[in-house]
Amino acid sequence: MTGHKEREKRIIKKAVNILQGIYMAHKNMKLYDLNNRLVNSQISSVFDEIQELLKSEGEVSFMLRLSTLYLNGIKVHFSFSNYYLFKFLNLQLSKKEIGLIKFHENLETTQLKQFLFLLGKKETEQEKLFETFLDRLQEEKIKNISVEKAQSLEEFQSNEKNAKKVFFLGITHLKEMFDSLKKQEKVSLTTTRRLMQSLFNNIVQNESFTYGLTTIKNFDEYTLNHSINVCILSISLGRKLGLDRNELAELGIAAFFHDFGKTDIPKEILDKPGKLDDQEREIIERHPHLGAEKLIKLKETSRLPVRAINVAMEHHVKADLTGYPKYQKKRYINLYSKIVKICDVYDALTTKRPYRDRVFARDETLNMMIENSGTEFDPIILKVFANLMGQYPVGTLVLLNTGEIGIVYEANPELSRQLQPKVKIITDKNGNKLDGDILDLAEMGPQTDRAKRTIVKSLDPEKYKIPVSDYFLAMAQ
Amino acid sequence: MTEDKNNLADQKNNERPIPSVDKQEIADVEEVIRLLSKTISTIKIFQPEHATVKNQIEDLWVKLAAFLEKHQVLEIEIQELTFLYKNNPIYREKKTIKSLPFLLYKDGMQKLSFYKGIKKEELQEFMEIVKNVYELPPEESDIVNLLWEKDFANIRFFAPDEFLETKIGIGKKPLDIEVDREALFSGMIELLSEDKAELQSAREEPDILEEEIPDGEELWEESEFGEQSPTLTEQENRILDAMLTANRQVTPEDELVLLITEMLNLEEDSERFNEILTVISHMHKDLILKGDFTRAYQLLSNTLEIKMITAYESKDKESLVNNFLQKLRTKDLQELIKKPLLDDKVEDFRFLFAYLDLLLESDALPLLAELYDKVNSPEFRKRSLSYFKEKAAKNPEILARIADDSRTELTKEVIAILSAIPEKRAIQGFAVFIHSKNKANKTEAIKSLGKFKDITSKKILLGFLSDSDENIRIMAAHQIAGSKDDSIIEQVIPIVVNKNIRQKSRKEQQAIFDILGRSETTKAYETIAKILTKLTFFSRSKNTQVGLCAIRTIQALDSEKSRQILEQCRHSKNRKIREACGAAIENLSPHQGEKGQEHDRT
Repeated sequence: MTGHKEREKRIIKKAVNILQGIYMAHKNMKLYDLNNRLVNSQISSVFDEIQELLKSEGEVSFMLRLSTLYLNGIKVHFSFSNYYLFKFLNLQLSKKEIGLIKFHENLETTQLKQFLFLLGKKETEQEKLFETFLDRLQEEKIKNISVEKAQSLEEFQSNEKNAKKVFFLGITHLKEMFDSLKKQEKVSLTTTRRLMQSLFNNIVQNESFTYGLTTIKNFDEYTLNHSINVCILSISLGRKLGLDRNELAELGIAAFFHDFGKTDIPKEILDKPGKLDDQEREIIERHPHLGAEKLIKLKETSRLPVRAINVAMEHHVKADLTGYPKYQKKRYINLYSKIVKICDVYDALTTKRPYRDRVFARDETLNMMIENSGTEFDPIILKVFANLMGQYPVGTLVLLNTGEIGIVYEANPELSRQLQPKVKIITDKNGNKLDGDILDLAEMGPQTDRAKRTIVKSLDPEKYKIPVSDYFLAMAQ
Repeated sequence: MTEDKNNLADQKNNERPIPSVDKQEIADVEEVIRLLSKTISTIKIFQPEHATVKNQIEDLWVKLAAFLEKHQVLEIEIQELTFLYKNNPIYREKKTIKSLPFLLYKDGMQKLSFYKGIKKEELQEFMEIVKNVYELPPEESDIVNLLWEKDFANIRFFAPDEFLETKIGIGKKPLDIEVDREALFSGMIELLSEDKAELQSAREEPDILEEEIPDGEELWEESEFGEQSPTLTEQENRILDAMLTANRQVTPEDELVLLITEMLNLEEDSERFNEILTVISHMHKDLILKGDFTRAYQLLSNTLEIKMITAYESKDKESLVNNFLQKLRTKDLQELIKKPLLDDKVEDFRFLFAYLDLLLESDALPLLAELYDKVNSPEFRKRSLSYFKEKAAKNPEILARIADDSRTELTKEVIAILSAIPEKRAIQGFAVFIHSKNKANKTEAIKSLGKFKDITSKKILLGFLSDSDENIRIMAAHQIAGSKDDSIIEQVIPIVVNKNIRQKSRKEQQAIFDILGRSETTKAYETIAKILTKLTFFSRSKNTQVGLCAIRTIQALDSEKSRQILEQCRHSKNRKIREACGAAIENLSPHQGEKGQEHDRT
């Protein structure tokens, strides 16, 4: 291993240790007095880690640029197991508009404790957050920790309108690609790759709204809309699993083209209400390898990732290798295929189709999928997906104990609070429709010691004729 | 964008209020960008490891770092052919083909920023990306994609998503859904009775989410992050990491080889089956050009396996695979195979030979023979020799055929391999050397043949007696001498009795007579006796010379039969013969009776 690689590994390990310490200290400071033994011990361990790094590196600076965290210039890679640490720091720094924290020599534990306290403290004013934080640091005479404001260059400015635009551009692009490929025209995948980049950026910046867009169903053609949805969900899941940007772009492209084989299947069969006969089923079951065959030809003239062929071929193969097609020699399923399979089934089951009596609710779908964990789906990836979606996935229509109806806007990533997502209120307690706020169900009522609102149950949007996706689209208008 | 539009853009820029910026700051930025452009020009010509490139990157980095130390960030605004710094034009290149601003602009980049703390390695990698973009065809290159994937810590860019609109759905109305806000946010939703009932009962139950709020809670930002690994156990996390690692380790090429085989197996339609074979053919070619014989072998062996499987169900498919293989096995293929080997592109030779066996069968040996002395890799030669040995063990003659006068090294190895095989088939392989023009090879072959006991080796050695080189003929004769096989003697006798023997040197004549003599057969004695008795007073000196050789042979045998022949010729009318016979008899051992009798039985 080269010196550079060794340093990188060491720095990443240190970053995780320091962040773990800060995270624990933050939690304890919330619960106990600042002089609590547990708090002090936690601060002391963070302090030691920082000191050690200061000795070996001469500096300790955490820098946040867009969605990436760096310690002393080294990019800190997070795995699924410690991703929450990144999310935690990202959130704390964003709330104070901080782009960089630098720990200097002569740092003292008291200063560190005070600094972390201020970092976690809620500000009532929503303007000039960075400047206010600087004032607080000065008031507390914290000298050996400096902060810099987040850089003004906005590599990416996500908003709902932009996310929506990218979503529809995705559908258009896929349609154009399918058409070109049908005509055997040469296509370039640079735009597709670029689209993946935009989808990724939207997911990073506005995860919930982007998930919300996947409630758009059957727009234009089912396969096109479905493919974009699967693409978004796959990139999100891949990101949580710890794939890097290049891998995510490839995964996205793979998901984008996963149903390419369906383009040759007659619509009458694809949309046939009721049961398929044997011959029709055979035709349907041929779409994975037909898609793979088309993609392998596409690969000859473009830089299509091989994994896209894997995914087209394998997205109906189950974790236990049953399903279709049946492999002759290959004895494993590619990771991307496992990811796309989960997202594919999830999106398909939550979509109204002519051959299915009803649409499954998002939470119900997730539960059904969990029942097939290990046989149909990879159990670990499914677990991560379930966690990503939360108990009430984004887009779930819910009835609150107040009598209000809402749509889940953002899942609560804390396991203990999965039943308390953020919800957009769409009716008041009397059933009057309204453009309500997005409320955090984890919020406690004043002096009641109880959550202000709880979810009674999820509702079937079909029964109430509630177009869930329209509520997300309305946010982008 | 056209030139006019560009002028317009620049014009607009000129209309913008230019903030007053320190002249030195502008000059410093101009210098950095000048160095950047110069380094990019250099990197387009030289490899990144080239000293010139390294020096220029060093210069650039020093200047850039100095600037960033002072100003924290260098943010460049990108126009079609111009770079701006704080609205001041600082660099312009009119020719789009070599314009650095255009290279970034064409992919929708609007800003590029370098931050304090930038590492030299980052700058180096950035340069390599730029180089790659220049090398790719425009439709395949996108610098924004590449920079995004790289995710530099201190080099960032701004390229808005609007760029996608210039690439997708051109000339079409953008897709969109207009939401009827009125319908969405007005009116009522009446709960269904079962939902109403559930709501009612929920209101009556105690709150399951009831919990204590710690003191000071309201002081804190709400946590919006998950607990450590909330859903996965330690073991599951390990498995997940292993899955990611495995995914990174399996190369796309390996996946593709496996996948395409499966596709072939699944395809029932002959036309599409054939199309897959065409793709395999292209893949095969690409793999060979890359020198990847391992995957090329896997690809072909998998294809053959599919052929075997499908042969039962579809003769069509079987014949398609046969056609496919036949098309591959052309002379062009051999040229294709040679290229990566001669260009030193092959890193792993393990499957090269299996591949050649599979595809070229018996043609593999001549191809390897041709390459043996030309390919630089010692491993290639080592493995080739093992392959030759393996082939020779099955069919030595095939191996012998690759021996060639122009390949001294290889031929020497072939002889060594054949010599080590104690089989008649291996000996027969040496026959090819009879017509060789290379003396060293022939010498080696003769020496090796001499070591075999089998009569075949002597028969082959006979072939060398007609060689144009006297030394070879003599050497062959020496190796034949001692054979007591009548069939050998029968072939030597015509040489001895032929008048052409007179033209040979004494050394060669002697060597040939020695064959006869040492055979100690009746026929040999009779032949020698006949030659001696034929000699007269009038015989030419060359004939006499032949006779004298015969006498020396007879004398060397030192048997009773020799004595008889010498006695007969002692009264020859040729003086030299007479005298030589006499002298020879004098030198014979006194007790030759028994030995002679024994020889007479032959």
